[in-house]
Amino acid sequence: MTHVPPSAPPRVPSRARWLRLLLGAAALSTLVAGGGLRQDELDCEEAVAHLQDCCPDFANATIACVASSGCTESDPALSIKESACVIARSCADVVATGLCESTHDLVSPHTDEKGNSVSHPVVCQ
Amino acid sequence: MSRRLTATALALAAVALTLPARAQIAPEAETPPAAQAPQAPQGQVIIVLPPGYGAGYGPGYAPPPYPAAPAPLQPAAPYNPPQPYYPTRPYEQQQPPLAAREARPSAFTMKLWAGAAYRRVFDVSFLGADLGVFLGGERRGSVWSGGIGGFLGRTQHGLPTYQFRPGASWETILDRVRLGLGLDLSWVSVQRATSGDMMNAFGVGGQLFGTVDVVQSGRSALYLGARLSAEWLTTSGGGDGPLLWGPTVMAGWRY
Repeated sequence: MTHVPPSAPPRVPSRARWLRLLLGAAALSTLVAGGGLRQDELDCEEAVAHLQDCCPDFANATIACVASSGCTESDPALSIKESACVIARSCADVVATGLCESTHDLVSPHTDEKGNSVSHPVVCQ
Repeated sequence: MSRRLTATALALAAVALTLPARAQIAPEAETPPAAQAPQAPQGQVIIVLPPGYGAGYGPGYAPPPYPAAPAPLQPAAPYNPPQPYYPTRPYEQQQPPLAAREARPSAFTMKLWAGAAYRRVFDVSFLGADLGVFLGGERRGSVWSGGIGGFLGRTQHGLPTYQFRPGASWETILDRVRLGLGLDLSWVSVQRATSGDMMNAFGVGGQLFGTVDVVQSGRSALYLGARLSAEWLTTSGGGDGPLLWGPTVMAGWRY
């Protein structure tokens, strides 16, 4: 007479459990993180940080570096090329060329309710 | 009277010392002495030695009863060429053989580190500190661990940047050196200069790393290391996601 041990209940494999956790975290993270990083936004923010360092009254500037899509699409106020141009200039050059004033309340390129494109002349090239 | 007793005692002692030698030279001993023993003056002792004594042998020692043959030449031992000198380390520090490493007992491990890090995404550079704490287990010379790493830094123009990086890693133990790789999830946040809001991204990435134990004490060690990490981040601008990458040099403690 042999003793047969009771069969253990089926286990969920630990690897599958970890994989599910990982995928869940990834999905949640994507929702939380929003859209992700954009080069034009990041470059524009870097350029504005440089302008804040160089220009005395730039703290109350209205320049925006947000890109949005939907009914009214919007791009960062400074394009990638303009941001690179601003960053490459020294503070003395920024002040001397009038970039502090021309970028202080710079309008972001966008489309209005009627579908018209609104933009601004190139400020740095 | 006393002088005569002393002389007699000396004579008896001399005879007792020479008896073993006499026994070894039996042929010569059986032959009668050729010459008459000289008469000792009064009060003196004359010791008569048989022929052969005193020729190359010390007093009281007789030549061997067989002809002395030269010892046969021994064949020369195999010649070992000179070996280079390798200084040996203390026993505790010697690298255990592979079988011994694999026979290391399974054990709990943890590691903490902090270091200087450089990161780059698009054309923006970041400098900051990389930190981490991982817990895991060691088995057969490999370490599996999981934990949280992070990066605190700033962009070139001062935008605060944070990265939160849970993940898992594997490393192999090569004496004081450990080589490993890891996989992780990544949340990256960069604070805007315009509004103070955060630009967020999610990513998946990996690392290659190597460490060298500088100080070992029992199961714990202080180590130096380097890490190369890369995270593929999400983007809202369309196209491929950007790659956040960069090296880290670090110092850490392990148990």
